[in-house]
Amino acid sequence: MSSQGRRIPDALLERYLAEAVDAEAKARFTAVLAQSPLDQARLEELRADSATFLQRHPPGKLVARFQEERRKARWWRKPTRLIPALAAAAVFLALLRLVLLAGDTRSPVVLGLHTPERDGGWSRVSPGQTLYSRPLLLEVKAPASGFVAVLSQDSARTVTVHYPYMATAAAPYDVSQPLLPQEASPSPIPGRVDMYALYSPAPFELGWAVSALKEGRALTAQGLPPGVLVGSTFYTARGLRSFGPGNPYAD
Amino acid sequence: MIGNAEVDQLEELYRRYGPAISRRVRAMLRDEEEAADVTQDTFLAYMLGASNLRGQASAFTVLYQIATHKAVDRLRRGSRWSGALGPLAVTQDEDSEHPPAVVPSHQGGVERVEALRDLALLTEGESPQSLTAAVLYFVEGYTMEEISQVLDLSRKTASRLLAEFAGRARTREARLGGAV
Repeated sequence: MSSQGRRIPDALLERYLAEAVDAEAKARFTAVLAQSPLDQARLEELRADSATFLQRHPPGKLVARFQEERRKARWWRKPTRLIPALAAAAVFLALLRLVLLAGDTRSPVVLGLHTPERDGGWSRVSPGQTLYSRPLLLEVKAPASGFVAVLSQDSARTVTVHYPYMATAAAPYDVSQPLLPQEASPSPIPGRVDMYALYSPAPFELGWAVSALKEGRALTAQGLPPGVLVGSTFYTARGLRSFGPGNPYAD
Repeated sequence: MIGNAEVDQLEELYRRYGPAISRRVRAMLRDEEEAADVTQDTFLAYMLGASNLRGQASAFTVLYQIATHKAVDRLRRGSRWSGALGPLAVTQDEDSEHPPAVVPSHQGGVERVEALRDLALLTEGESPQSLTAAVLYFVEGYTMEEISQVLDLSRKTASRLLAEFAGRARTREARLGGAV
């Protein structure tokens, strides 16, 4: 691979251009640029591209998408608007439970976590079990195929959409394949982590769930939108070990 | 009505960091239309909650990681192991006085694209932070010092992050049966 004489890689040049570096780093890069025509030329290329970016990609479409997502998240909180949907969903849920659950009084959605073992296998995580930084397999058992999402909230109240990762809507779910195709990373913050599996036979957005958790409302069966079921569990994150100054997760 | 403050924040972030994020995604995906989609998805993910994933890092750092993660996610679809990715070895003792050659991320032939696709197959389920570190190190040739600056981490934390990722990735690589 050729260096072409450059001294500052693009990722850092981008930070410099976007003024996303501290004063010390800025001074350092400025000094290097003063002595590196190639890096100066690249910076000018990036600057010229940035100058036309908003003309090529104006923010209107992005803002419209964002407003739509926010509107959907808030819609669930307007009880009067939910009445017709609640009525229809109540009928649907009653039929679904009769057909699929036949008197089973447990939660119809079960979320299981699996952690890797040293021998290469996986073991089921017990509620409250302490976990380190190894990735977790997610298993969701639901009444039928439909759509699922897995979210968590750690002791710092950070909400993470694990599956589908960082998405704004649930992903298709096949009841014959309860192990989800994505692994989840345990929280780096020590303490309790609550995990939630959301399921519905129909597609659904996740903004309301993220908002609810951020506002301190747990995801329980009573507070869900029509047609959405929930299963939950929790573990205890061990967190990352301290590695000296600058580690944002130092003990 | 959606709060104006949130829209203002989104627009400001997009104006300030959109060009860099768009270039990052374009360099990885080599497709303008997909890159435009992923760029928008990145800012939406940031505003709708993903920003809390790493509360101590700057907005640019978080956006950069989300964008890299989403771009790799796109690449993973339909990818097949090619073997272009080199050995997953993390060098701990870099000579800071004689750093390796800088490899611009806007360049790269077919081999780099294939290496990135191979890495995509090894990073499913990885956090944006680990995944970004892995792309920067194993595909784009960044030094540990540079990676720590890009990700707002100490060099030791960046080194540990990569070493742990390499361990997990070697296991996945063996399962794929595509060891180089």
